[in-house]
Amino acid sequence: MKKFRLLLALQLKNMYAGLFKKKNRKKAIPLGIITLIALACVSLYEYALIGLLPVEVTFVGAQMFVGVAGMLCFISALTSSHLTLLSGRDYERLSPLPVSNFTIVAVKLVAVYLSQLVTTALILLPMLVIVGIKITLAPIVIARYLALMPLFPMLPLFIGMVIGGVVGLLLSRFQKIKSLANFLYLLLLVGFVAFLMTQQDAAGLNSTYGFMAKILPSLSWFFEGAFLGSVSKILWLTGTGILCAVIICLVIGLWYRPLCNAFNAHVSKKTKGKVSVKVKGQSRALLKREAKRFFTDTVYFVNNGIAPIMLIGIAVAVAVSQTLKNTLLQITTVPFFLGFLPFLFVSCAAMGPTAASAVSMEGKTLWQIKSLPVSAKSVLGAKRNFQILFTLPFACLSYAVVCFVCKMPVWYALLGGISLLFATATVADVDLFANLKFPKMEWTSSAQVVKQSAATFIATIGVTLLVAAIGAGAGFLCKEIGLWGAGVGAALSVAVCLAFRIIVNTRGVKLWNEL
Amino acid sequence: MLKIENLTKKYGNFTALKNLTLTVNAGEIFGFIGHNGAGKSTAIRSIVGIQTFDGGSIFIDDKNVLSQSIEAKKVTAYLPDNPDIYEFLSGKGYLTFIAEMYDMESADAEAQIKKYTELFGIADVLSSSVSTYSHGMRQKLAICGALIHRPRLVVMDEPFVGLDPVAAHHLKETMRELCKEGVSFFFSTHVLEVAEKLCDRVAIIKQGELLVCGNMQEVLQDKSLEELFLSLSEKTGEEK
Repeated sequence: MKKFRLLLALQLKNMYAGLFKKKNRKKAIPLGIITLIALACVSLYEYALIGLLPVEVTFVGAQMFVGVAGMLCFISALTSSHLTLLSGRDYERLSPLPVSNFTIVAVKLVAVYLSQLVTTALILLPMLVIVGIKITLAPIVIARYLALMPLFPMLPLFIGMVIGGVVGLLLSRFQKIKSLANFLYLLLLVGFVAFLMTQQDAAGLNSTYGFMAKILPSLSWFFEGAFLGSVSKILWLTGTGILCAVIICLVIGLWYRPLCNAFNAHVSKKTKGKVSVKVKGQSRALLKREAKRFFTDTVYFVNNGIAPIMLIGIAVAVAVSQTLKNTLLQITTVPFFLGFLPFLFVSCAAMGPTAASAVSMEGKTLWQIKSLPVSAKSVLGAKRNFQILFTLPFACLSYAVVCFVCKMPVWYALLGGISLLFATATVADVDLFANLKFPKMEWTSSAQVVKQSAATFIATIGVTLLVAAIGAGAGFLCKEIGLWGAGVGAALSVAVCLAFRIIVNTRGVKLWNEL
Repeated sequence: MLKIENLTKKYGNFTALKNLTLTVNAGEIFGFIGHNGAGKSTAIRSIVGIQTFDGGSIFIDDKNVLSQSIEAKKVTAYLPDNPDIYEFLSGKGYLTFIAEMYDMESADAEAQIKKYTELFGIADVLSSSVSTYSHGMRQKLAICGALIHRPRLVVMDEPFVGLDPVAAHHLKETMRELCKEGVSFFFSTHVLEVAEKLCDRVAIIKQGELLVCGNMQEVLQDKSLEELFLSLSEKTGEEK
């Protein structure tokens, strides 16, 4: 038990203690503010759906959010939890110690579970408040809800880890075509989510819940146990949660060494023949390095690759679906939408914040790039440009398709295009700056950078919501002053882009040099 | 080639380096010796531009490492004690990246890569990902990366750690050959026998302060480097 506590303290310190260091306290304040803003935004969204619905369908809306929370937990477990459990660096550090593999696995499971619990709490706690206000929940219901919430992530985590682990093992066998394998994996995940979204039942709203509850019955156990007080469901949830934890610890604990070796140890293959070298240039080499790092890291790729796929999906859906076309044709007569539309695409592009992890991903190899004769501006420029190249073409294409289908007025489309271009570039600069402000250089698994760092939190939630809010502002401008509103939006996008470029090239470079 | 003047570095209230002053001439192998935590790595990292320092100045080939950092780095190579290399690249990809950073020509880069990878015995695994390399192979790859671009100053932190005897021998031979061409080597090591045989000049540092610096024969006189080092360590211990 003592060793478990020591290792757990070490793991949690590695994940979270940076925020409580004296020198980082100033950073913790803006991070705390952003967390509160994110919580407020999620609450507003939940209120919009649950709070504004008639009382008799309150639970239908609540079920939808339970389904969403379950889906997020499941997807997260699919994409990275097994990697955290079987991190090669942790294995090398911890295995020689006189600690059982079960203890090591239990500690890591607790750490993974805690990060999943934070994500689900972000959705489930505001929901409790909104439902409670709407239909005045009894204290016993609230107590049940809070008591059962910690058990919520266990089954999604377990199933996600098993599937993700098997896929990860398969992917690890294909080092040479890792980029392609990662891409196919991402397509599968996106396909699964898209399939979920298209599931409709009579109620329409709770389709996500209905489908997810078939895969993860713990969602319905949680819902019925918490709100309806079903004892059998509570017992099922509790028992399954504990069983999942025990099984993971036992199975992975028993197979820890072979599993870690299978994931991490690969033998270099000897090849003969002439080594042909083609030197292209510094800028291209830096960009290529960013791309190579991105496409070969499963966690990095899968967690950011959603943006271009979503954007392509929108374009395809608009081009193919007559219902959607008709809806858009109606909406585009509303000036608000004309101003808001480009920022919707920027918001989608902002869900691929590669720059928000790019500095941290240097990790222990930082010495290499810092000792090379290349300016900080060039290095940071490559990181920013990669995000822009990764998201902007798809955003532009998708926007162009929608503009064409909607028969958007030409000037609105052009000015909106300018807003989209410069706003996407701004997002990349903001994400990069967030990473420079909140770097996480000490990590053993890229999941710690991509999923658990302050910068990616700011980028995925803060920046995405901010862009949507700015889009709403642009929409109101168009509503009030028509085309001039779109012009103002475009001009402001350009100005803000230039401003952030200057900030990154001055203050950002200084932060990089201090790393 | 390398001129350090009154180099000072503080971490909070702790002074890691106090007015360190030394010079490395062209074509010289300079040994930088000290106990653990003496400030060797701090000095080395300051020289190659990885970390800032609080006082003094450093010149590489008459270029100030702060105001002319890019120019200074163009003639410098760095090999850390534990070279974490990009695992997502192949050996060839890594060396090509280095060649690109130093604006080498393709043909020249190809020839240099072939030369050094064959010398250190990693030519046949270049197409494999660095993630599959052992520690020693990564060390060798990092050495190749440091040498292919023809630096004028090579700064190394514990370069012989992790190298097999053959590779260590090749590294020493390469250092001697390159010295004849005017390349300077500045390296830290705990292996005093190697330093004694290899280095032209030596500096011993303790708790951030330079204890002795000079020509190897003049510094050693009749003693071995180990005896000198131990005697200096005890002396300063008694003074305290």
